[in-house]
Amino acid sequence: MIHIAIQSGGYESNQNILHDIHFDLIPGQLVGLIGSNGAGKSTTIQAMMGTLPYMEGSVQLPAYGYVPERPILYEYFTLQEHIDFLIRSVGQDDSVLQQRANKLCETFQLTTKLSEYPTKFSKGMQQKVMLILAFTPRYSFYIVDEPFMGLDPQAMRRLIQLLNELKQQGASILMSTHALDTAEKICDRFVLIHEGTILKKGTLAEIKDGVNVEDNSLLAAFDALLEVKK
Amino acid sequence: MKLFRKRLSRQWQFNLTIFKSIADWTVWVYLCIPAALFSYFLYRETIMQKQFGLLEWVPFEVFLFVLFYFLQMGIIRSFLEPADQLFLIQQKAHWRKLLVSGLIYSLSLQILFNVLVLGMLFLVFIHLYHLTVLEIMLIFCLSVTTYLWKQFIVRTDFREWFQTILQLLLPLIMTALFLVVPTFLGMFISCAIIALLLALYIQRYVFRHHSFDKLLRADRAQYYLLVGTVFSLSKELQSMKAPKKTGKKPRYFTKRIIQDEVVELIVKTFIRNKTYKWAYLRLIGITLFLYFVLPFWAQILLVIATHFMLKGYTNSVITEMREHPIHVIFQISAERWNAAQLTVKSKLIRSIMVFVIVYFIGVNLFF
Repeated sequence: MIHIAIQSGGYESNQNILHDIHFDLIPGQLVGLIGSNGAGKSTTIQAMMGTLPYMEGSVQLPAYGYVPERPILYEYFTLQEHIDFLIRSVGQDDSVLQQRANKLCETFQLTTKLSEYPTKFSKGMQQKVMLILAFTPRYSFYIVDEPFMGLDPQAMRRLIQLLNELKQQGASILMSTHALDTAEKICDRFVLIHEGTILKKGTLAEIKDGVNVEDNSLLAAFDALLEVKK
Repeated sequence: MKLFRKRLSRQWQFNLTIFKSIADWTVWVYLCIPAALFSYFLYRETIMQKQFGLLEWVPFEVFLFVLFYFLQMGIIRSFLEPADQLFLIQQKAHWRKLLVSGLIYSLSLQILFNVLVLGMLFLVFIHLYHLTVLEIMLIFCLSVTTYLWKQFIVRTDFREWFQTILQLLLPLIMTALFLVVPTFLGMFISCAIIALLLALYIQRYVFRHHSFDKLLRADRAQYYLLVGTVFSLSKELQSMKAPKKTGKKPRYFTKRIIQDEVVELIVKTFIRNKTYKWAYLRLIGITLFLYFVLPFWAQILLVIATHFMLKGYTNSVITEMREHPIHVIFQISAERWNAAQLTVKSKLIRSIMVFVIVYFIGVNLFF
């Protein structure tokens, strides 16, 4: 189990954006990090990864796969070279990783683009490259930040299948997303963030518990919690 | 005039701010002061001692062509700003005063620059090429003519490559004029052309407003000249620029070329990043050329400087690669990076230094 304990954090000293973010990531579970724009989801992820300039707290992460909010690509590497570099640098069985990368390229229909620079791809295709790079190695933990952004419906369906497979294999996954209807279907637990602090956390039933909502959706519960907070 | 003074002072403040942003004490100590001292001693030990080195092999015609090309570099500033299209353009008197002041300012600066350059080359003209003072004055007049003529070329709608050809043609014509036409006649012709070009410039750009875009474009290019230079010199600022576009796919080294993936990343980036590649080749090219021109003592200093330049350049380029955001995905340890950096640096710098030293010995033995 991974325990996240962030006391405070931000981009400048004495200007904390995050306050008391504590939650657990259990093996075989997908946790949805939910919040409005600017709530602090990506900042929380950065604090976990150790890339936030100022952070107080303790986060011990194992080696992990990461899908960033916006595609990050190397201008001077082709797709094949991105994959090849990753395979060589993670220190897992090269042939197994190569097979998995090939399968992912087929899944996301990028096999014909291997010799091209991904920086020249469309936004959706770049997002698929990010997914291939994150899911080629086998990790016990994955961070996926807005993974559905720019994906076509087929790719979204394949990604959901992939996340389910990883869960079944015992991986912990933290997913930040605005797609609440999808999150509601695939996440096991939720961490609702508002203004840099946790609004509520738990399973969907626990989130809804004590909240007066018209329908049973996560969105309605989230809205109601925000109203109460105001 | 008030508007001109205000804009001129803003320009110099801007230049000063840019200069201050890069020239901290380390730049002064390690670059500016040594470069100035080196240039002074080099000038004193070569031209002032009538030791012209490589110049002795350069034919006068080629020398003159290069000189004319070099002396036409500047642009006549209009000191126009984008918003002037809305307001100043309607105030004819202010518009004309601003443009005339810009013309006088730019022309004065150019004349000063040309006099300075020709003054520094005075001994070369007299002792190497055996010119008279009158002939040097003709070179000055022709250089101003080239400069003024160029102003019309850069304000045309011609494609950039065609403008470049015209800009190469101008010094060629001036060289021919100097060689063919007798000195007095040449001076008369060149003064007449200068007067004509000035009148044409005033009539075309000062009294008419329809060339606003062309004037503004040329002026902006000159305004940002220092910034552009600073950008190309400073690695830190260079990283803020969008990288030069690469093709859809690489042409060479498409397969795995080195077993160590971090070394491969450095090498492939170096080969595929046009800025890195050309800056590096420029550095080597200029250095190798200098061995032909400099006296022996300066060549020894240059060998040492070459080592430090290559080391500094390679370091800054690798640091830029290392700080790329992709490493959030690739997660390479600092130890791996350091090892790869050391491998690349030692192989690259050592092999080039061996070549430079062999070249240095060769130049001194055979030339």
